[in-house]
Amino acid sequence: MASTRNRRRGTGTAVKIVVTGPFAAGKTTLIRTISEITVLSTEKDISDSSRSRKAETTVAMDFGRITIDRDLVLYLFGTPGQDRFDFMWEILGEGMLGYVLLVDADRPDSVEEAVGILAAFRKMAPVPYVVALNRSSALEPADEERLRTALDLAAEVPIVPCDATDRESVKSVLLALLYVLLEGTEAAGADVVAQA
Amino acid sequence: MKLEGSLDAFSLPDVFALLAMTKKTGGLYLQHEVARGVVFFNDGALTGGSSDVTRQVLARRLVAAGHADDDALTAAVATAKDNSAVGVVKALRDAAAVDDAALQPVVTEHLVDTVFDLLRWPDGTFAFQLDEANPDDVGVTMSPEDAVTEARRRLADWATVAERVPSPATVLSVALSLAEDPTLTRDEWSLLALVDGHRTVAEIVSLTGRGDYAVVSRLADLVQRGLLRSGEADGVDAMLRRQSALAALEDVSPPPPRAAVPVQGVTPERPEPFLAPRRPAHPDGFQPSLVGAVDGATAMAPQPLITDPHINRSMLLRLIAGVRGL
Repeated sequence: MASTRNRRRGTGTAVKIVVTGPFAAGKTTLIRTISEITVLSTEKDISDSSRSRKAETTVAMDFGRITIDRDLVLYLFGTPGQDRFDFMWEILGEGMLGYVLLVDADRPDSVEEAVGILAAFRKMAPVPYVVALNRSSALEPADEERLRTALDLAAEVPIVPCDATDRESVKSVLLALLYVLLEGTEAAGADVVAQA
Repeated sequence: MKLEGSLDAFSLPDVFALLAMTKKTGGLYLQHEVARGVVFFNDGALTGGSSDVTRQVLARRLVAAGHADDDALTAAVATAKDNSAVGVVKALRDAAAVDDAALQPVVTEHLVDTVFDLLRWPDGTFAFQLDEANPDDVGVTMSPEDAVTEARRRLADWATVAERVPSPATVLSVALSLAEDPTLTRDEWSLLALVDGHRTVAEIVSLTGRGDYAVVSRLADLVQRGLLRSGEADGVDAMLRRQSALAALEDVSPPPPRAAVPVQGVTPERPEPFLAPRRPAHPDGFQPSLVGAVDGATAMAPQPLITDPHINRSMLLRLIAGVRGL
């Protein structure tokens, strides 16, 4: 396995987190805000009715990197938001540690789109995830309840209000996911988290 | 799909990791000044490439290893000229002029050398052409991670090698007297036979058809053992001028990258200092390999980069501390 190989070679380890969500939810922005390298966006002009919301969209993926220390790095992959690129989801999701489902708090249709994406990701890879509510500074209990019902979220799935343009806010989203993963480790009482 | 950028912003290992993790198929075209290279991927694995697309580097390597006779080579060259989708090496294989057992080590070594060469570029641009096929795809694949790891190991050795053989223009000569009787391997002897006090190291590399690392490191070892002496050649400028003239004949002008910086009308010059300054891709030479969860029910195909489930509490705590500290 790769970890054995890495230890033998004295090389580093990388982990992968996917940022997914509906079209124009702010996935590219979120990754750009936190990545230490220029995010590799593969965007093109929008030629359909979606143009009213956004001039360009992510066709394939965004790619960001956070170097944790000399032998550990975190890669962030953003998925394309439009359904016609959903063939990329499974490719990008393969091998991920967990994912962030980003939803735009200002757009009710964003939640509707998120339902299908979340269903696909749950089926594709039952790994831990968090829901990040972009353009939201706080979450009223009633709003949270509505969101949980709409997305059919279990109580242990965190919903994190965030601002994808704010570095501290994006950090809080990633930390929420990492804590879910950590709790999973401790709950399992085992050394291995993955293959949830 | 558009995927292009600068190696300043994205190191080669980063781009490799991205293409490997997303199982891409296509050609990654790279350019540094007038130098042009390409690396081909198939489902995220390396299948071939060259750090100098103006030359038939892999074919030269096969020829130098004695794997193609005159008739087979002539036919393969004709095939490659008639059909741009088929390279010389693939034509040789298709004609059964060379078997897979012979190809495997040659192609693998060539892949590592290609990555080794490209990692020495101090900067440059890249552009990925989705679904572009490798004309010399002979079924040999290598994980990008393994290629980068081995290339980095060679880079680590390279500083020592370059102290003894400082430049491609270095001219070596056989020592006239030795402190003791020499002991040589056949491989070393074949190199020693090419050292005549006039040929440059670059010319010896070219004659052998092998990569810089394999040849120069062995020559450096012979220098260290006192069997060879090194000294800068006189008239290096004249030699470089003559090499440029030859390179113009060798430039078969494959299709340039359809993106990134347009190629200027300058004859490629291969020689560059061995110790080209290189910005490390990661601090302390970090070499990534992906780990994470894989859902066995949904994993599509074996992918060595992303199959490690060994995420433990300690690693998560390091991730948390790292993200907190951003």
